[in-house]
Amino acid sequence: MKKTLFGVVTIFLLLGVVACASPTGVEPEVEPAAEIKEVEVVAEVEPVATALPPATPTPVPVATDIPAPRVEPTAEPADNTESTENAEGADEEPVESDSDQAEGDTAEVVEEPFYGRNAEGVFTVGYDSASVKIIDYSDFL
Amino acid sequence: MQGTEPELLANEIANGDAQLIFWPVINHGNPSVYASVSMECAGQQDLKAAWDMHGALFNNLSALYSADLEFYIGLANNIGLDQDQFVACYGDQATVDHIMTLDGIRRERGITGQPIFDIAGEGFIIGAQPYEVFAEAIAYVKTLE
Repeated sequence: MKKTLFGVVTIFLLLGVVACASPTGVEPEVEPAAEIKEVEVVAEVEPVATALPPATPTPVPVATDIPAPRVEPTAEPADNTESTENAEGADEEPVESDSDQAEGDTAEVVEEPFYGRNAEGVFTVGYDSASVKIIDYSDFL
Repeated sequence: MQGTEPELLANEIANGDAQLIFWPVINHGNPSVYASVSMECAGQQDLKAAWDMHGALFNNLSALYSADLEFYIGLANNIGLDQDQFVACYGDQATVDHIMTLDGIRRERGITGQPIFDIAGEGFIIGAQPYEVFAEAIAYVKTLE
């Protein structure tokens, strides 16, 4: 009887201890840490209205140090001109007078303006057919 | 360029190898604008007169820092321009806008110093150089054709 009573008391004591250790009998909920919100873009960088010049111009020196190779002319313009004129002359009707022929030759020569203004609105000197365009960026001062 | 221009004109430009294009640079404020406007106004009357004014401006470089309208009218008269037309052009905002647009374009191209010479897009000659440098550069570029 005493043993039974002791056993019951012991069980109750054990239950009490367990109850103290875990009063609710439920594991405490761990509140989630504050959620990390996505960082919003504070402000978009707007393009600057005025066109700023590049930081540093890096003009490449012209390759004047490189020896220019001598190129033999592939054709003699004078000969071509003459042969063309001769060919055209051969096609001409013989009834035409010399003066008419001279006028025809003159009409074929299209003189380019020596002084001009290009599409960008800047002044040019020299023929538009020139292959080497030199842009002179200069201040008068 | 002013020093080498006569030789280039007599040789590479006259024989059709090269064409010279003047692009105004505004690096000294209003005096630069006034000078460039003067060349523009001369060119509006006559294309050759633009180059006459170009030469007159470089020949009077030191005076340009304090030059006023009367000074430019004097240059215009010296090269035979119509004074009334010149004055009207000089005071036209559209003329200034044109010059400033050209200046903006050269800045976009990265041209900040002067004088700088773009040789057919193949390279640059920086600063005043003797005629021989230009002649050699033109000859070199022609070999690339």
